[in-house]
Amino acid sequence: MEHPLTQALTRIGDFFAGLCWRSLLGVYFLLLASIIWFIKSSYLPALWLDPVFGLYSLCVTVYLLSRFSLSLLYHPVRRGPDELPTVAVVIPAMNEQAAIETTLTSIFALDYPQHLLSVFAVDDGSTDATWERMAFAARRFPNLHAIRFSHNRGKRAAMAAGIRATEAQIICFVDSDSTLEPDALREIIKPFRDRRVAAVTGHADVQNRAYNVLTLLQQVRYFVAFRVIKGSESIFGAVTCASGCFSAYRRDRLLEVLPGWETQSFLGREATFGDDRALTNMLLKRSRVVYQSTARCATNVPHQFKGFLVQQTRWKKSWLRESLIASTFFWRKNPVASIPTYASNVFPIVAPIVIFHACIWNPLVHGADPWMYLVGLYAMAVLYSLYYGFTRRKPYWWAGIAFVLLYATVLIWQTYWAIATARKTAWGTRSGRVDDGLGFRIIGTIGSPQPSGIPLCDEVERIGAETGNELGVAA
Amino acid sequence: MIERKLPFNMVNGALAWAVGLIAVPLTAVPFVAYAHYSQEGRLIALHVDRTFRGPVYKRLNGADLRYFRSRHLHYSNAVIVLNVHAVMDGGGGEAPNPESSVLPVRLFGDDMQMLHEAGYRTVTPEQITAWREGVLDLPHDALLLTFDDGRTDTILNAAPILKRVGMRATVFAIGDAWKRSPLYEASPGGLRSLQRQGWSIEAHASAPLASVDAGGGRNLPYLSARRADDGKLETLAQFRRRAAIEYVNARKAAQGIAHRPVVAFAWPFGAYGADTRTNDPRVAAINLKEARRVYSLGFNEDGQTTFNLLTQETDPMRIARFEIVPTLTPRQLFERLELAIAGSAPEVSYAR
Repeated sequence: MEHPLTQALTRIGDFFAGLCWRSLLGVYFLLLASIIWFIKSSYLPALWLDPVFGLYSLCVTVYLLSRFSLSLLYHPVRRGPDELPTVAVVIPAMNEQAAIETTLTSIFALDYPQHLLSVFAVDDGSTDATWERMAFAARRFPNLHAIRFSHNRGKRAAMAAGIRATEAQIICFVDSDSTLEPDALREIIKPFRDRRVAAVTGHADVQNRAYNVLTLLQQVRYFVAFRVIKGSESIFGAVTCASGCFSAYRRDRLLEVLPGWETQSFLGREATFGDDRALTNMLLKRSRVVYQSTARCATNVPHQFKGFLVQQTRWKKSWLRESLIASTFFWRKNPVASIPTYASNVFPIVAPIVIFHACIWNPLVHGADPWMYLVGLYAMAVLYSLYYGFTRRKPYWWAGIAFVLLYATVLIWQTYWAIATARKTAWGTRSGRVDDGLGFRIIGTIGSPQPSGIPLCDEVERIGAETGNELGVAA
Repeated sequence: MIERKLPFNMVNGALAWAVGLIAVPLTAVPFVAYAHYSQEGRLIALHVDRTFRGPVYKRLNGADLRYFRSRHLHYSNAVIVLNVHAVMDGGGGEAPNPESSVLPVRLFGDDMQMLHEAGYRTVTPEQITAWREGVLDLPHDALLLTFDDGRTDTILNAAPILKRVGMRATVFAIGDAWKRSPLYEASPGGLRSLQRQGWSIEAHASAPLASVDAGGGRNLPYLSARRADDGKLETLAQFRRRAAIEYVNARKAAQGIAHRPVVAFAWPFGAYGADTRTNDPRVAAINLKEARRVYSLGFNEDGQTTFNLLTQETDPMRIARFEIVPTLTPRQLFERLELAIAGSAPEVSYAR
């Protein structure tokens, strides 16, 4: 047991170390932001000389600085509903044998009344031991209900099965490789006090951030994407993507959009990814979607560059599809929310042209040097990172610079690749059980799915359920 | 759970914090390099620097100051006209660069101290016009200090130094230059702030005009040559019209900035067709005639070799300016001015 005086001195030391750290990064941030603002405002009169690129550059700067500024106004909801709602946690899983148990354990460790909580894990045709791990977990957690698909149908179908299986007021989706903080559920339901809120997204950190530099820089990216982008969108109840790794929805609102969401298609093909973004979009038309920073989860991110690129391409494709859809109704939202959303839909499409124009075309054709543009880009990367270092007090704040540079040199070009391959709907990272020609069926259940009135298992599926029993699964 | 594979604990721990701390100055290196090695960067850095402090220069030593005070030949009824191209510290430090006409800040500070200690008194083009018309006496040791273009460094570097030594100057401004190069050129508001300190704003050009195609593969200053269109030179009548329009527009632009009447014009590059930078020597006479219709005073750029003081006898449209160059020390500049005073001032004396 540490002496109280030592504890007090440690706390004081921590406080002053934090103060010094924040002062250092804060002064750096303010100085850099002021210089950027000064340069941009100085160049305002020159806008007409190169109106397209000048306006783009100005808009991006205003957009980014406004995101950082607006996010400072964001505050999580402190007071939840007077009465705790019933919550069902739905975990779609596909070949997650390594992580599913940890996820389930974290969910059953949640600080939430057990009689109000039910958990539904859906094995979307895994070819590894995911189902067996679920079954093993079911021995420890009798409240665990699980459904096993005969073959891979996609995350959306797995999520839909979970929605149908429950009657809980709030349905919470958690990725199978995510773990929740003990108070995460209590926190994520708080914004539902407001009847206008249909969905709440929690905050995700990177669980495997210490694995390598790629995962480390994704941690900074995740923080900014959630705390800055979603935080600033949340002020207007217009979060454009309730993240799949941890989000909660009102079941009644979900059921309203469920048929359209399940059968969504794009360019004549079934939409097989971007499920979270699609669901958010459908709800945003009539309701509010908010972010709750105190509802925290940690998720695993790709640690190999190839897997990372595949994931980013998939996200880009869903972004492309859903941005087009969002642009048909977002104008009805608060202009402070809708204008940046429209702008952020245009930026990734124009950005590669701007980089080409500034770094290749202008130097080669007009002899103009690209340094001001490059230094400006770098300055935005440093700002991005400093914000992380300041708010989170983490020593690896510099990883954000690496991420922005990676984005500007590699990921930015993915937009065009995503457009070119928009009709290709394969996940790229998923490979499920091959269709055996007998058609889709549920081949296993664990526990007792709640009486939602929507049948889960037909006769054929019961055979599968028996197969489940053969595996030693509690019926 | 995937275990840690990083070479050391980058996420937490003493080494991670050491790296995080070192990253603060390291991430600033590209900014410092940009601010040091590129002209734009230097200007941005200058803006930032001036937010916190004024230009830094040393006070001249006592021996120099005594020398300037005691050796100056006082004159009256004449004006020395000096021109400064730019006042800016370059990436190569403060050593004078013979290839450049940009004055390092410290040298400019030394030169201005020298002029102040010697007893020069700055005047404006309006005063000179009134003096030439016989309605005003000029102070003795009158000096007209001019800056071309209205550059940002004039405001950031030159103006604070001149303010400290109690001097003022004249800016020959280019209309709309600020809109094209906001970092390089001073804004109208910035120029008006100089005016409030007693500076004058006069005309230099209606806009940042490119040189004209003068035929034969030559590009020459806008007002010093006949322009070739489709290989055919414009007629002298066409040139006259173009020049007349430019003089009127340049005045309009300068008045738009100054919000006051403008009386003087400085030819861009000092070129009006009287030297080798022309394809027809007759344009010089046209320029002088047309400029005289609009302005009371006209300034050349360069009088380095034949520099004389402006007197009542000088043609008011051909006033030579001596350019302060970085290769001249304050003492050399002083001597050069003394030589000009001795050679061309109508009334001189050692005692005031």
